[in-house]
Amino acid sequence: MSIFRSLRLVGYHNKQSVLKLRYDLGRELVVLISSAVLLGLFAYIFRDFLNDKLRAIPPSEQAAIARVFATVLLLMVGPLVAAPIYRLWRDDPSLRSFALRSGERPAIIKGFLGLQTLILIIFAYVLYWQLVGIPWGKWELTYALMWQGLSLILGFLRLALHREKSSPIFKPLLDDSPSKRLKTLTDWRWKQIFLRNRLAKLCLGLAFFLQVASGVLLAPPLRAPFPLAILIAMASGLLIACAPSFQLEEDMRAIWFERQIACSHEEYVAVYQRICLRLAVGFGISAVVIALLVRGFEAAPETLKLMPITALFPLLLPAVMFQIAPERPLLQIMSIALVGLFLGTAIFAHWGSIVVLPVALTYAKQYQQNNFYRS
Amino acid sequence: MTLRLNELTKQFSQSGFHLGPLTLELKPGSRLALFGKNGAGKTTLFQLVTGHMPGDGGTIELFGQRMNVTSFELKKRIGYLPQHLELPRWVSAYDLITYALKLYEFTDLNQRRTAVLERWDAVSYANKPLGACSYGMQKRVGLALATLHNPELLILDEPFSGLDLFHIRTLEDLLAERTRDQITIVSTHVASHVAKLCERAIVIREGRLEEIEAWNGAGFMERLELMEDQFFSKSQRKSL
Repeated sequence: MSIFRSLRLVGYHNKQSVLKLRYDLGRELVVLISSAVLLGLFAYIFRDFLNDKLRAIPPSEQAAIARVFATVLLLMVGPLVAAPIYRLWRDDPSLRSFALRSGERPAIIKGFLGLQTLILIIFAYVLYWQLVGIPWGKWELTYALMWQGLSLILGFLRLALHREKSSPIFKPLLDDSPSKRLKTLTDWRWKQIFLRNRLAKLCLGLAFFLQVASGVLLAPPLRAPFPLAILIAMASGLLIACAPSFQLEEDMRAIWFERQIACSHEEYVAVYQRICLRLAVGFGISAVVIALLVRGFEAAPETLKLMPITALFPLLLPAVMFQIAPERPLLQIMSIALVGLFLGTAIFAHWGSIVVLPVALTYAKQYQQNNFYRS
Repeated sequence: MTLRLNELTKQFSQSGFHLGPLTLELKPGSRLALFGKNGAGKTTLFQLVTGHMPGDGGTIELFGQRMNVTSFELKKRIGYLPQHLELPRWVSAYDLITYALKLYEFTDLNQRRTAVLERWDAVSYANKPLGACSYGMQKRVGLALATLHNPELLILDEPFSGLDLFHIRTLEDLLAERTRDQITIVSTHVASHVAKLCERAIVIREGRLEEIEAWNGAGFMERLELMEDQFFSKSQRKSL
């Protein structure tokens, strides 16, 4: 009978997730529908342009790119699914800790955790194979099993190697020298992004890794097609935008303090504008320098497009940060990805499209005026 | 140097909760205790007075000026400790106090930081991440932030919860030290914490303010009884 009690706990656990989704269903649906409409619009506007670019890449190269993309994603699924599994087994308070304190038998709780872990793994891989694995890569069974096994091993390694970090002793973040208000507000966040916020640091590290990987792919002997570099520039730009988005989420936890200290909407947006501009310029230049080094200066007019395409993603954050929910970085990232995809493809198609960027930024900033006080 | 609420109202359409109209005047030197059941509107009132939330009707006048969400110069003269204290996780108490002192444009940072960390007994954990500190430790950092600029209006929402006896005494001493030209408002559910210190007491009930008239002339024990009278009927009191 204990398996039924474990199954009941599994039911409660998954019902919690459904209820969490239902709690904000209206807003989630609006975001989902607007995203679908925008993506449809994107496909409609750029269909001919993208088809032209795709036709220029030989089918064998297209297949190879799709296969590499599908393999990399498969390898990431294991470590990604390890995070919710870790939380399931360790979080407190949670259904596990509540059941344990209520006197539930450890065997039943272990049964629940084991079943739920299995559900998470199956759900993640079924989703992957349905949406990416089967449509994108032509796999032989042995290779598919090998990569699948490797992905599971990577996930297991992430769980096994995870150590709770002991609380560190921090060196002072700010110095005592007098500085202007805007500089203090900026330094406070800038230094947290680079020195303290783990997710922000990870995103910036991955963004730089992608830029280097793009350089390797463009260089001989691989000589990958340029649209792939554009795609990687968009991905790295999005990762760069993730860093301040995660810092914004951290800020929002204690936003009462910023308001108390008389921070205005304009000041707050200006601070993020400074941070995003620095990130955009820094990473935009590094993307171009790496690409110029491997492609040479003959292709400079095309190569230079990597800079605005990388930079526009972080530049979009100050314009969208107070549009929906600043405390939810995934929503920010989704909005930035959608708008960035539009503008990035437009810039790739024609340099002239760059003029749309300041117009879009100005309009978006006006639309979110004073939302700092409502967040 | 007065705080005036004139017919202040706030309505929440989702929950149907309605606060006000509220009218109140606090003169310099006032120390006000605010009581009320959970959900009576204490925190909403504080959010309105501190300019964290816009009101729907009426006005708030502070030190002779209208208070609203964009009254930045007025906000600098207020110290506020919210009930649900959230602090950034990846910074230390040292960092946060330095940040606040720089934004308040103090020049003697080292001296003030040392004084405030010592006062709130936070030196031992000043360089640890706040996310790794206990609730009581975080509360002391919150109190340090609310009081480090010696504000003319100090609003403390449930300041005693989570504090040990030693730090309750520290807070009581700080409240007693407040000068005659400063205003203090303390919300609490434990009357003994404020019975010695506050000369006025108000109950917020169904969105309205009701002054406990007899509080001012009453002694310590009488004040405790007066507060209990606000929450229990006579028959309930007898059965306690």
